Amino acid sequence: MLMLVVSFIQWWYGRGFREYLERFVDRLKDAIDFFSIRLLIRNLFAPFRQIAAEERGNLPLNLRFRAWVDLLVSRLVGATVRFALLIAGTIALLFRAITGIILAIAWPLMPLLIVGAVILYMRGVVF
Amino acid sequence: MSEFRYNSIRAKKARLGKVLNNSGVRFSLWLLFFLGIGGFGYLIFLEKNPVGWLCTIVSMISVAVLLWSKSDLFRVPIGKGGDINDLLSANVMNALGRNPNPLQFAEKVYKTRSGKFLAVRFGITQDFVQSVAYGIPEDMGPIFDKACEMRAQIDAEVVSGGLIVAAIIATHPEHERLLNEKRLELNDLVDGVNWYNHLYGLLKSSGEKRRDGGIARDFSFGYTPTLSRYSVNISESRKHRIRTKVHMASHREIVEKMIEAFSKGGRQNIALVGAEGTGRETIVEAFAEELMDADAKVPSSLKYRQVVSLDASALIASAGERGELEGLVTLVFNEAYLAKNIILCLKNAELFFKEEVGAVNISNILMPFIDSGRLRIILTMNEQSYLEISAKNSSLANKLNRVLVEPADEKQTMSIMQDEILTLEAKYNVTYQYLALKEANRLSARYINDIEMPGKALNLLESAANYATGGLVTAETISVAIEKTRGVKLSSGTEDDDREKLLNLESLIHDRMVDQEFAVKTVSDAMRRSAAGVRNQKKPIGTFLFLGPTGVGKTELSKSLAEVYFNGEDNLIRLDMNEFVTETDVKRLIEEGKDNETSLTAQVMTHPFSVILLDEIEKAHPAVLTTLLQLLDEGVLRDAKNHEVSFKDAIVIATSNAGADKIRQYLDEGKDLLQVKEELTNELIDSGEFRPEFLNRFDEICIFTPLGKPELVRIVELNMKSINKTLEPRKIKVELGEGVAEELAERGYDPKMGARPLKRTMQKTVENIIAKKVLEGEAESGAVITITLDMLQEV
Repeated sequence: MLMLVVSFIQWWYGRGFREYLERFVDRLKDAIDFFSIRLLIRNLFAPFRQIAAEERGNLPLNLRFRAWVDLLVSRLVGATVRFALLIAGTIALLFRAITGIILAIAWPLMPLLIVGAVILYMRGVVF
Repeated sequence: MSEFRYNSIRAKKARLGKVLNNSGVRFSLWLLFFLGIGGFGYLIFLEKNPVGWLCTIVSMISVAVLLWSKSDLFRVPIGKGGDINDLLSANVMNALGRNPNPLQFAEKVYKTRSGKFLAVRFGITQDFVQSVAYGIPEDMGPIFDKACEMRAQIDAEVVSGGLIVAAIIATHPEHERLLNEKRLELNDLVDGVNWYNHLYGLLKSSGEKRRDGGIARDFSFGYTPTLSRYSVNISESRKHRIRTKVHMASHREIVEKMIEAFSKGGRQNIALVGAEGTGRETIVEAFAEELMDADAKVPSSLKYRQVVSLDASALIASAGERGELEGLVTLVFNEAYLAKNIILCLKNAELFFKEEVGAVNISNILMPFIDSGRLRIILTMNEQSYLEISAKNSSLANKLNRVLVEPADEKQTMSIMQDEILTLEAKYNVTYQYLALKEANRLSARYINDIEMPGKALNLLESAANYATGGLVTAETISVAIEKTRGVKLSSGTEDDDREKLLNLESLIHDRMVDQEFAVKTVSDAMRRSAAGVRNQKKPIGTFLFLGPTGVGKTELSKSLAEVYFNGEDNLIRLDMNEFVTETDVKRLIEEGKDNETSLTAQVMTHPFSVILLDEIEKAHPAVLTTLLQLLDEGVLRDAKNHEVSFKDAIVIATSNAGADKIRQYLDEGKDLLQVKEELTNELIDSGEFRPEFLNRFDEICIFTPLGKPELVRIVELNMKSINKTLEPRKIKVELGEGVAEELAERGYDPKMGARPLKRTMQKTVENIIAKKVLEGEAESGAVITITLDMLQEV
């Protein structure tokens, strides 16, 4: 029995904690990928869905102007949609990061938390 | 020597893991966790009772145990030392008792997944392993040592149950014989364990989430409504499937080459040139998956680009007139270009460059896109189509980045099949045995010539699913499948039958023909040498040149061989070589089956187990003989479409009347048959009748001697047997009176024509007499007709 308890403690502070941290990083990466955070930042002002007339050098001036306006509108729409999604993604990412960090701090402290709970019980602390 | 320590920490953890893996225990732990949290809230905040703090301890401990069991106890990681106690899998440690022995282990391992895998895929059942275990010492030490050795051989992570089973069998002194009975080798079992580990890994990875760019991935790319209607999005279709594995280093290189070509400036196209079945589509799928993988090292200019396969038939079907089709194709191409994330794939690209039914010529529309490098394009085609396109449109061919796709070899095909059967088993609800995979590999390589490896082996496996018995696809199922779907007639005799036939070959042949002892013995000896494995396996079973006058039994011996060796005269492919007297006749000899199903190659492709009779070989054109040299030498011939046709399961017999007079002359001079053979061979070479390299290619040259009257009498008797067999259903029996057989032999004897006139003589006499008797009602059921000399005189 003692061997198993020692083995558990070794795992808790060794591979178990390492695996938790790896999982935490993975989940952050998942969130970044799900909300396409990198793509949103890189293409923030790119035309949305390529909905814009193609600009060509040999078009008359008025048509080139219309194409430019088209492109500008498309970029604005794109930026708005991307910005909104970026905010939602950042909130989700922050939430995941904060909970993950709290658990990462709590993990090595768990034996202390158990001792703390015993002390609180013995002192009769209630809210 | 290794010894299992029952009380090692890994073994203890494995046993605890087994207890915690019980669904009831896990449910209880989760219940405790939630009750602990609930109890804490209720007692501390509502009841103001400090016992609530103890509830948090219950929650923390139960969740810690749950985490520990999942990460550390169920699959106990290997230890740091190289000892068996560091390497045994958790399953095996659970199956081993305090003092383990092979018999006890054999009983328990079959309750694990790897044990069941061996039983189903290899037929290595619990009974078999237990019977093996009786024949070896009870000590597990040598078994563990052997298992560690095998683990190193396949670079496995742990010593699994499968490896221990293989090690138990390997420890038996007669393991080779025991496995041979199951048509297996020890390496097959080790390969099987590797296969199990691989499948287990694949199934595990199939549940893993893939990162593919997320919800805003395509925000910067355009819509493609028209293109979507006439195409299949390969990138999307692979999204939820098990990741395509590229088994061949050469294919991996091609995927890398494609990434490099598309990420640089210049020619934005790849032409994958290879025969059907080589895996061109798999390469495209692997490439598409790589681009969609957020974690893959792909240049950003290619990341999340989608590979879309254009459907030629859908385009043709929707466009009414010619101009309409061109307009549609232009629209589709423009859409793909404007979307900025499309890599267009033209599978079987020849369909897009032809002016015929079911095809559309888009070269004029495609060229500007290829010239300007505005659109990324992948074309797949075979070598023949590439050459045709090059001949018609050299400027197009010059602009393509041609990449050759080579067929898989035997080992690569095996590992590709081991992956692919997961899909086939789910699709057809069957289970494939390991030997079925090996047989599919062997038979498809030998008898399927229209596509390449691994495609042809996979096609055969898929078609075999329809012939599975009890949901199991075995090696026999594969043989049935190739016979039914490809029309290939495989040998039907069992090994025991074949052995018996070979040992009695002479007497079996003489049941059908008389005399020619020398020729029959020469052929029989050669056949026995071949069956005993003494022969070269890369040549036909036997190659013989029969020399002798007409009507002495050359054709009859060939038919007898077909009957005895291949179970029926139907398995005789006969070619009159006097129909191949010009150089252009070579083409007729090797025409593809769909153009001429009577060509030699077409017939052998569907009937590989046959006697091939090349009658009157001396009349064939020298070019035809040169073509046949390869057949005699290597056991293969390439047909007009360059498909390799195997003659390795055939007996090739060439007959010739050349030198017939010389045979008579030499025999009259009193020379024995060996002398006759030697002198006649020299004579035929000197006279230019045959080239020495042609004669040397035959395993044996058999001399047939002219028949005398006594032999003809025996032939009459044989023919009577045959007539009586024909009349058997009518219950009529025919007998010959005294002196009748001799009279018939006398009438049918012709020194120049041998026994040939005898057949006609018997038709005119004996058969006519019987026919009359039957029609006149004189021969009713149970009658015995005796043909007398008088009757013969009347005819």
